[in-house]
Formats: sequence, C-alpha cells, structure tokens
Amino acid sequence: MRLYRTLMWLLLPPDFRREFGDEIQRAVTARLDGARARGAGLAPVWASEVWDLVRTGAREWSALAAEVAGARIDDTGRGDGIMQTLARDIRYAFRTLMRAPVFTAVVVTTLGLGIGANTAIFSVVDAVLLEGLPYDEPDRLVNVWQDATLRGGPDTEWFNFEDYDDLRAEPNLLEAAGAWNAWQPTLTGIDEPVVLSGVSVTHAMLSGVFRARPQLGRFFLPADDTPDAPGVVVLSHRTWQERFGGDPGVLGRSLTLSEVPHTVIGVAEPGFQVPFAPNAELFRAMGVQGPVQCTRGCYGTRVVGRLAPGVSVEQAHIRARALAARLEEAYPGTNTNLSFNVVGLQADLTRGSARGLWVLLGAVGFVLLIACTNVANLLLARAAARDGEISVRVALGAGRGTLFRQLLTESLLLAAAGGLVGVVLAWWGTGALLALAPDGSVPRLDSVSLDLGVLGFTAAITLLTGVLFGLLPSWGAARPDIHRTLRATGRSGGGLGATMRRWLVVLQVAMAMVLLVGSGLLIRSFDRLSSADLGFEPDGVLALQMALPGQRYTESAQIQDFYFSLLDRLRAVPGVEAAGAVSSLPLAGQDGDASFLVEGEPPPPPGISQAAWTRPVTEGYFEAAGLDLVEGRDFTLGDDGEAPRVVLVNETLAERYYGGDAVGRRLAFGSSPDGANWRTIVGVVGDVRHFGLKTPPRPAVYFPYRQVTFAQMAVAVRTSGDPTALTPEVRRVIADLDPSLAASGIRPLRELVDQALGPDRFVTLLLGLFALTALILAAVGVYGVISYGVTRRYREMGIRLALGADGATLRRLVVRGGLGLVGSGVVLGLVGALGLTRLLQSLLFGIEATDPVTFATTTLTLTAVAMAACWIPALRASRADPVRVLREE
Amino acid sequence: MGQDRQPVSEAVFHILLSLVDDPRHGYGIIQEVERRTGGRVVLGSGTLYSAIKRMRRDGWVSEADVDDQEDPRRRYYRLTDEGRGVARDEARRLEAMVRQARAKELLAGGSGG
Repeated sequence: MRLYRTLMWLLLPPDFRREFGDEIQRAVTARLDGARARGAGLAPVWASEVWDLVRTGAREWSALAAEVAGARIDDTGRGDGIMQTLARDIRYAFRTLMRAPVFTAVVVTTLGLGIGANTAIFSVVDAVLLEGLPYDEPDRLVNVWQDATLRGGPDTEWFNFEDYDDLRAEPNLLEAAGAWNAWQPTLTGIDEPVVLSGVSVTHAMLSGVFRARPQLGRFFLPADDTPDAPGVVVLSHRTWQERFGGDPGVLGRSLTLSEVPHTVIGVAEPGFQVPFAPNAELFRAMGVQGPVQCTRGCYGTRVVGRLAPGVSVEQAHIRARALAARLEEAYPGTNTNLSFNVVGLQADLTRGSARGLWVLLGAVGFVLLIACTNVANLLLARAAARDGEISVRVALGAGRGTLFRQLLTESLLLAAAGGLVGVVLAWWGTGALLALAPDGSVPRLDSVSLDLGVLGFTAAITLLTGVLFGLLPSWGAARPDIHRTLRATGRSGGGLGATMRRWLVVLQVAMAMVLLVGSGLLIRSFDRLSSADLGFEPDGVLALQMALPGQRYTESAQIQDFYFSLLDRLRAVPGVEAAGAVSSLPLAGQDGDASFLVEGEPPPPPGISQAAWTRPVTEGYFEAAGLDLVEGRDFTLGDDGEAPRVVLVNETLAERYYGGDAVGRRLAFGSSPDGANWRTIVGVVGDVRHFGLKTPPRPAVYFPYRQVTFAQMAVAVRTSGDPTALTPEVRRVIADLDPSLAASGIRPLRELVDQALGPDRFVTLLLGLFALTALILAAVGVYGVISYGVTRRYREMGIRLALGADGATLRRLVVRGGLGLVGSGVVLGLVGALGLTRLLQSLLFGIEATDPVTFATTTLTLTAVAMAACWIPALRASRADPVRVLREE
Repeated sequence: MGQDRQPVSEAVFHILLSLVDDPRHGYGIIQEVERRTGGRVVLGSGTLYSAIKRMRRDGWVSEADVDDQEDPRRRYYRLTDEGRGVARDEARRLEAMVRQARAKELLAGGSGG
C-alpha cells in the first residue's frame, strides 16, 4: 500500500489527490481485502488498479492543464495557451501510443527495467555512500589511526592510550575523542547465561563524539573512566526493550557481566548505535579495564573523534601528522616511523565497498544507455514508418517546431511510463538486492530505502532518458524530405535515420563489450578467489568462542583444565573427528601480534617492525581446522609448563627470517636479547589466510597451550556430518562443565569463508546480471537494425534472387553487413574496456585488468551472439519470393 | 428533454445506475457495478473518483450524510435530481437505439434478450 501511495503521489495532480486520495486508497484496500477473502490472487487487482491510476493521472493532468488555460480541450488548436498546447500534445501522444500497444509495452518495459535497476542500485549507493551518518554534523566525525606503513605495518594501526592523550590535548584538532574496544561479556543471573555483544568506550564517546542523548538516566562521566571506578553500563534502546521489557526500573540495577557486577546508569535514545558496532547491546565505561595498561608502542584500542569547529579532515590530518612527528622525536624508542592518519568516518567505514558500489552504478548506467539506444532505434524505425503521416502533416502546414515538440512529448511520456514501471521494479528489486547482500558485507545496508532523494534521482534519469532517446529520432523525423516521401511507395525510407541507427548499434555493441569484459574479469577473479588455497579446511567444522571469567578462573591450571576437559568431551561426541582450540580462528577478524627476535641476528633498529601473530593452540587444533604441518612435529602432551619452551612457525616466517630452514632454530619475544626467553622451533605450519582472502599471510607463531594459556579461546570441532547438527550437543557439554558459561558465535567455519567472499560474490553476481542484460539488449539492437535493413531491401533481394543469386550469397551479404557494425562496436568496446576496466583492478584477485583470456572470450561471445542475431534476418532475406516481390510493384 | 444532453460514457452511466436506489460509498459503487454486470465491468478506483469529481462538479451527484458504522471516514454519494434526469435520458437514448436495432432484426424477440 505504501507503494500505491507513492505512485499516487507521483501520478495524480495535488488537488485531486488531496480531495480523493484517501478515498481511492480505501477503495483499493477494500478490493484487495475482498480478493484476499475470496482466496483470489492479488496480482490482477494490483495490476488493474495501477494501470487505472496511470490512466486517471493522464486524464486529470490534461484536464487540469486545460482548466489552467481557461479553455476546454479541443483539437482545433486555435488560440493556444502554453498549457493548452501541452495538454493537447499529451493527449495526442497518449492516444498515439495507445494505438500501438505492443510497441508501447516493449518500450516501457525496456525503459522500466533500465530505470528500475538504476534506481535500485542508486538507493544502495545513496544510503551507504551519500547520505550522512545519522548523527549531529556527521561530516565532523573521523577515525584516527596510527600509520605504521614506514615500519612495514598497516596504515590503520590501532592506538595506545598515551598517544591518544596527546592527540586529545592537541589544540584545534579534535573537539572530542573516544577510544573503543569490542567487549563480549557473559550475562548471568537472569536466564540462561548469554554472551552479549558490547563495546567498551571512554567517557566522551557517546555524548561528546556522537552527541547522543540518553533516553533514561545518564551517559558516562570522566569519573567513570578511572581504573578503580565501579563498573557502569549504558543499554541500547533495543536491548532495554527486548531484554528488560522497557522497564524504567532498570536504572540502578546491577547486572553480572562476566561475573563482575555492573550498574545500569542509562539507556540510549531509540535508534542510536555506534557505526563501528551497529549491533552493540550495551556500552561500558572503559575505566573498568584500566587504559594505563596500553602505553606507547602498544596497539590496543581504536580512536574516533569529532573535529574541532571549522577544521577540515585534511587540515586535521596534517595537524595530526605534525603532532606525530613531534612525538617521534620525543619518544624515538616507541614512536620512530609511526605517524597518524585522520580519515572521515563514513569514508573509512565504506572503504571496502565503495569501489564495488560505484562500479555497479556505472555498469547499471551503461545498461540504461543501451536500453535507451534500443528505444531510440525503435523510435527511428517507427519514425520511418510514420514518414507518410508526418509528411502529410508538414504538407498541410504543420510547423517543424510543432512536430518536434509533439514527438518529444511522446518520448517523454514513454520515459515517464518507464520511470513508473522502474519505481515499481526498484521497490521489489531493492528487497532482492538486500537479500543478495550477505550480512555485514556492506555497511549501513539497513538504511536503504526509496526516499525522496532516490525518487528525485529516478525522476532525473527518467527525464534524461526521455530526452536522450527522443531527441535524435524527433530531430530526424521532424525534418522529413516530403517530396521524396510523398512520391515514393513508402518503402525507401532511410537516409539520416538509417545512418543514425547504424551508429547507435555500434555504440550499443561497444557498451555491451565493456560490460562483458568487466563482468568477465570479475567472474574469473571470483573463481580464483573462491578456489584459492585458504590454508585450512573449512568444510565440516563447527566453530565457537569461549571466554572464561577472570574472577573464578584465576590460575592457568584451572583454565587449562576447563579447555582440556571440554575438548575431551567434545571428542567423545559421536561423529566428531577432531577438536582443538586456538586463540583466534582464521577470518574471524581478530588476532594479537608481538615483536620477536631471531637468535643469532641483531635486534631490529627502532622503527622497523619485526612482529608475528601469536596464537596458542591445543593439540588437535591443526587437525580440526585442517592446517598442514609442512615440516617437523606437532605439539604433544609433553610440551607442558615443565618442558623446554617450543613453538611452531608458519611458512612465511620460516622463509622470511630463517631462509626456509627454521626447524631447530630459536626465537624469543621482546625487544632485547638480554635475558630473553628463547623458544625452539619444532615445526613449520602452512600459511593461513587469516585476515581475508586477498590479504597475503604474515609471519605467525603458534605456542603450545600448556606453555602459553589464554582464558579466551576459539574452539574448532571437525565432524563427518553437518556441523550445525552438533550445536545442541556442544551447548550441553559446556553447560555440564560450567553452568554459568555460554559459547558465542557458534557457526560453521564455512560461514566465515562465505562471509569473506560475500562482497565479491555480490558485485560479481550483479555485474554478471547487468552484462547479460546488456548482451541481450545489444543482440536485440543488432537484430532490429539488420532486420529493418532487410525489410527495406526486400525488393532488391527478390530481384537479386530472380537474376540468379543463390540464398547463400544473400545470407552472406546480410551477415557481412552486420559483421561490419558488430566489428566496429567490438573494436570501440575493446578500447573502452582497456580504459575502464582499470577501475576494477583493486577488486580483482589473481588476474590483471588486461587479462587476455577474458578479452578474447568476451570478444568471441559477443561476436557469436551478434552473428546469431544477424542470421535470422539473413535467413529471411534469402527466402524472399521474387515473384511476389516483383508483383507488388 | 434528453435530446439536449450529450451521451454519457459507460462508466458514468453505471455509476449513475448504481446510485438510483441508495447512496453508496466508492467501493460500494464498484461492488454494485461488478455484481450487476456479472463481473464484466470492474471500475478502477482512480477512474471512479475521476468520474465522481466531474459528476459532482456538474451537479449530478452530491455527498450524502450517511452514518457508516464500519468506517466513519467513508464518503457517500447520492444522485441529485439533475443526475437522475441524466440517467433517465441516457436510458431513453439507449432504449431508442435498441428499438432501432430490433427493427432491423439484429436482436431477437420483443421481450426477451
């Protein structure tokens, strides 16, 4: 019904809508209800009512225009006012189009598809990239990162609290700043223990940086940020509603979170979320954790800020870098080769998806252009067919301006109808689009809607479309050579129109070529990506996260006991082949690293990073997750706290620091060899794509869990059957061991891989779809032009046949003509593709944007399809009946 | 006399006919027409109100004060004397045409259909 309202808003004159809109809507609702009650389909009612609405709109607008002109509509056209002329043009155009329903339907559908696809994609682009984040003055929100590129690290490295304090103190930089870390506490004492998703923030984050207001109670104060302050939390509005039934008495209530009491001091306003953790259920003041633990040289937290008034992102970036340079001088030991990066928050959040979305918008624009050329071609053909009518009107004294205006009105009316169909299609298309996009792969998708901005965009492209495909044909048709036309039998036609049509087809083929090459590249890239060696075996593995509360699990032995009994019990579950734990699973998006020393080598100078990811693992993990042991041995029960310290390293580390000969050598963590705790490398493990499929592996070290014990671990369980079927059993095993614990993130490991592939799958699929549409439209265009040419030369063909030419010769003649057009289009398209696909390079994996195989395959495909499109009219030409053709003379 | 009036469209005639007995609201008119014609004529909601607008302007129908228990927001329309006259004239015009068709033996019988 919202759709119908929108259509009414678009179609009906305001006065009429105000007077009868509600009534009409009630009647439509009643009809739909009636159909539903009878068990009849709703679609016919819908279709007939929407169509009726279109007709009513046309009728009411022209009546209104006539009224404004102060005269009733009559077709004599004397005493024209502008409105009257317009009304007459619209009515005439409407009638003309209704007289050719098939033509009109084809054009409206073609345009509707093009406009609908554009509207759908634009609605996503608008919500994700163009609309500001839903905060006060969102342009002033920035992410601040440490730039570690000079150390061989990332340009978006995390912060420490000392550098953060200096950043906050810098004048004319940030008005407010906040640091945040993810926090996943286990809530106990209400129902079953449950793991919540939360965020730790410093006090200024909610009120200062995002300028949010509490619905109830208060947000954090500076006093909450001290290490010994009591634990306090703020609930999101949704959590308050869903978990606490919207009870205002929740304020002051104590919640047991990971076995630490926290007092609820506030509830955020409805809809408020932090953009970096849009599903956060609650926030706690960071003070609980004690920021002092992460000093200079540590990468322990992330920073968001609000720019000082009048400071641009660029200025802030420059000032922050100047500050970093001063810090480098003051603290060479920790800050050498470290700088800061200030990036607009929205740009940063959409960094991964922006390129793909722009490419899609560009591609779908191409599809619309191709659709326009097809429609222009149809109009040209029709204009040629109407040469007679138009010439008569010119002969009777109709001015060129009048004809031009009339024909343009027809195009605009067609475009408007196409735009309406487009809005309806986009309404459904956007839903389909969002269903295609996997969770979390594109940020801010939840705010996609067909709002005024999007409808404005649709109106603009509709108008543009109408002018674009209407102008050329109208121009050609409004300048008819009346003497020739009136004298001829009406079959000679051609001239300007024919040349234009051939050019349009060349252009169309070229655009289709560009799209095909682009989608071909993405498909090949996606194929490589999805078959790339991950370094682990995700199928058949169930993954889950566990966090043991520090209050009760204080000793390493206790923690080890828990995990080893958990794993033993899991291995005893029928169907389980292997089970093991690791500090962080591949593609789970987190890990911790540390600097290390290579025995026998001098420590790296300050500012050169020599760090490795560090992951404690239990026995059975490599088997459960499917990692390869390349060399040496796996950890054994004997590698415990009493035994000599041992590690396994990945291939990248072994190659980079030990020249591939690492087993038996030693390394130590820290920055000074004095008193270093050396650990012997006993084996080498295959590289794992830990941070994404396109991110090359970095050095990693695995510790035996009996020697390095974490309370927070991820567990991998390999089963012979469907891993999700294990979930209830796994939950039961955990509840048996410790009833106040719960696992979080229980899901098949395959899901993590699919999620990582999600954005690429999304872009590839859509671009593929657009390319296919382009291919079909271009084939139709080629067919139309060749077929038209054959019709025009039918007589010539008949005469040639009569003079002894055989069918094959004629077919060759026609196909050769088509080949010329297609060939020019392909060549033009190849040049365009070489230029444009470079924009795709950053989306590609494992192939170049100039991949010759893709270029060759697409050229062949397009040529073959276009040739097939020529073949049908060619066949018709060769079957021209000379007797009949000549008799028609 | 009816000869002075222009013929009305089929949709308008159906709307006039459906209001001869009782005042009706918009959806009621659509239902009545659909029922009476055995589903052959189903007025679109937009067409209906577009016609009502013109008929009201010309004084053929006016709004009726009916207390609708189901939905008080519904607007009811009733036939004015002018509207009744228009309907009657149109019926006479159609009748005359049918008579002529019968005279040419296009239709069978005098009483049946």
